[in-house]
Amino acid sequence: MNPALSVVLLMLPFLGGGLLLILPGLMEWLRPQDAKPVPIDGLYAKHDGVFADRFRQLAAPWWDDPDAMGHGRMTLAADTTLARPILAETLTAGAGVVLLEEAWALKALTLGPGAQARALVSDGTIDLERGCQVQRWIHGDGAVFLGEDCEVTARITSMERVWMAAGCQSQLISAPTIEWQGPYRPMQVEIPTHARKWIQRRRIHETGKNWDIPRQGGGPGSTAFVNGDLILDSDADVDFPLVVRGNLYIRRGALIAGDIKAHGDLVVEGSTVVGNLCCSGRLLVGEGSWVQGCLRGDALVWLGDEVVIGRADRPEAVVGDRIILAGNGRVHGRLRALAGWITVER
Amino acid sequence: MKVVLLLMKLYLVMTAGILVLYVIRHYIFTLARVFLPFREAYLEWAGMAKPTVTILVPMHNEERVCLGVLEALARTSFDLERLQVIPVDDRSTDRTGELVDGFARDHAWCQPFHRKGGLGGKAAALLDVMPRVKGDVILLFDADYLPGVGLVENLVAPFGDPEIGAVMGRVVPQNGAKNLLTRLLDLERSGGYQTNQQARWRLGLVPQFGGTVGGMRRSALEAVGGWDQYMLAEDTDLTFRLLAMGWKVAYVNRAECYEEVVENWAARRKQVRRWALGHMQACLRHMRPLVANPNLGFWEKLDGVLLLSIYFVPPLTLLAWLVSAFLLLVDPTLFPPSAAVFIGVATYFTVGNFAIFFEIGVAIALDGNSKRLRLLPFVFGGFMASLFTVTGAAFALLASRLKGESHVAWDKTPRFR
Repeated sequence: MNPALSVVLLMLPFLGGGLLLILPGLMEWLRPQDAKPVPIDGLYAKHDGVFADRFRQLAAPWWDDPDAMGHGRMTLAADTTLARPILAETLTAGAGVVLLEEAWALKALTLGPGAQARALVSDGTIDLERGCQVQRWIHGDGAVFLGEDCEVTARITSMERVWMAAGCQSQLISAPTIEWQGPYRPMQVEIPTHARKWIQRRRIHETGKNWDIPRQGGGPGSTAFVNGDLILDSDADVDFPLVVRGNLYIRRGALIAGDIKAHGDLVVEGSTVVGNLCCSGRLLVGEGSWVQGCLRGDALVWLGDEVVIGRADRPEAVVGDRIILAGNGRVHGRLRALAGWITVER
Repeated sequence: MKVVLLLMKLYLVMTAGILVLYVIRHYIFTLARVFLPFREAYLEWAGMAKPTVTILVPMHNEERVCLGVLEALARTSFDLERLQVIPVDDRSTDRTGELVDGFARDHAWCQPFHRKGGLGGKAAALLDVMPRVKGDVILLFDADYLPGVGLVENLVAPFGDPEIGAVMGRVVPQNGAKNLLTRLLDLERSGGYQTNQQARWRLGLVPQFGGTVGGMRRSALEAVGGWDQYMLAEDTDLTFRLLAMGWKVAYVNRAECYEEVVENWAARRKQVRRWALGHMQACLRHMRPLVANPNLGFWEKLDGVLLLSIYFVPPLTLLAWLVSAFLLLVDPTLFPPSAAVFIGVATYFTVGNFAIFFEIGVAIALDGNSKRLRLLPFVFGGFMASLFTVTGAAFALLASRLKGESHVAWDKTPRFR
């Protein structure tokens, strides 16, 4: 046989194999089936009540359907189970009612003790008595009240106000005002004795500057970085961004006006903070603190008695793997647990 | 001759070692992206943080696209009272200046800056416009970008953390369907952002600020000395200067923005050459300070070193291929069996099961586009083209250094819209 021909014959299987590899690619190149740009996020503005709004859009035509449930005042007897969506002017469900589909009330929606529902939306108020469970979301254009031990798996949103009793839990809560009321047990925090106490008002006066830790660049608003643990004493006055590569303890009475970050735990004993607080460990905000800024704790966020986050005209966000709400407190904005629950202390 | 052969063998082993290191890195990134939970905690702050923001849009002869980006910014959900947009008309000789002035007449937040002379390049233009910047946060967009409604809020959110000096968003090609090159670039962008950048961020390593769809804290920029107009890759340069002074770069995968990728190979070659030159410049400047930085951990330093050196890999690889071909002809008894295994693994992973393929494949799967995955074998063609371009750039940089030149010329990327 001609040697050239035998080489070509020998190569054919390899060429064929190579062609097989790129054949699907050739087809996609010459006759594209998947060439549209990747759809991207952020093209449209979003808000937390997005699921309720979508449901209302979907269900709006059902109001004209004569077979649809409701249209007026609707009352469900105790232990009733319903497996279809409910649309009513007002809905009052007795104890132990099970709603397997969504419910929409135009004025008020009330569930009795131990009731279970898939999702609830009201153009007015929503009132859940103790031990209710909602599988997905609750949205009220008016106020939303949750009795003791209520559990809403995904989110609770309101255009007005959310109030929660002890033992309530969810994963996202968003409203202009979120309030809770539960028992209060102070969180015990040990402050290590080796932590440095650097920032004191006396020193500020002596130096004529805010303090004597070098700040990057030194310009207004530039960040200060501190290695190791740090305590800000009760007479401390910080008005610039601060990053602590360790634990940070802010004593009761310290004045903070700048964003603060700690690589370990961050403990605020009871201070006024104008700025964001974030840490890689636990973020503990003690009783009587007022924080005008967002909070983020990679592990736990604990909000103590009489804590106020944000202002009515300026909402803020509290984010953590888990969030515990102790005593009485108020958040203007949203709470979001990324890996566990937002729980009102039992 | 024996010494030369030994040196060549040592070079091959060294190159194989470097390649294996990069391969491991890419596999770790890909597996981390698939298996580690990703929590975009900063995005929960979106819309809450309200710093003042200045958006800079450098434009050099951008009459085709300049109004697109400004009209897209006009639809932003960010508070316009806290926003300043500066289209930087950088020595344009077309109608760019006239068009942005016309747009600014109807939009008070748009305040064009016209630059008539000075050095070419993005960094030089940004340096000149800085006295006009009023915002605490500076965002950058290229003129061909189309930012979505929520993008500014998503990019600004991480600055609530005082340790974040710069933020990078995700770039998505909008003209990916145009031809084979744009489709390959679409795959490359997916791998680079969806997998690589996000894994680096999640693992606490060094995400790179890319110079567009991103921004920086103004005080941080001033603290590190502002823009360096002699750097071609001002983004890489800034990333490492921020890192040196303690700040971090955050990557936000959900802060996505459409861009226009280049549509012909000549433009692509120019672009890769510019990136390579700039990146190598940055490598020479920042390698030593990076390694000596006491604020960085071992893994951050290692990732930083590998990131800075990445454009030196193609010339190393190409030379290794030549050396192995030479050794095969001259001295077929190359290595002891153990070294042969080592080199075999390196070769398999670089040429056979190219690690980047894995990264891109996973990114495409995560994006939910399964059929474009079929184009994956063609990425190798793009890799080969870049190999020669980057090697050329390395020689150009070497030549300019030998001549004592401190900076290299800047080439503008053409637009196709």
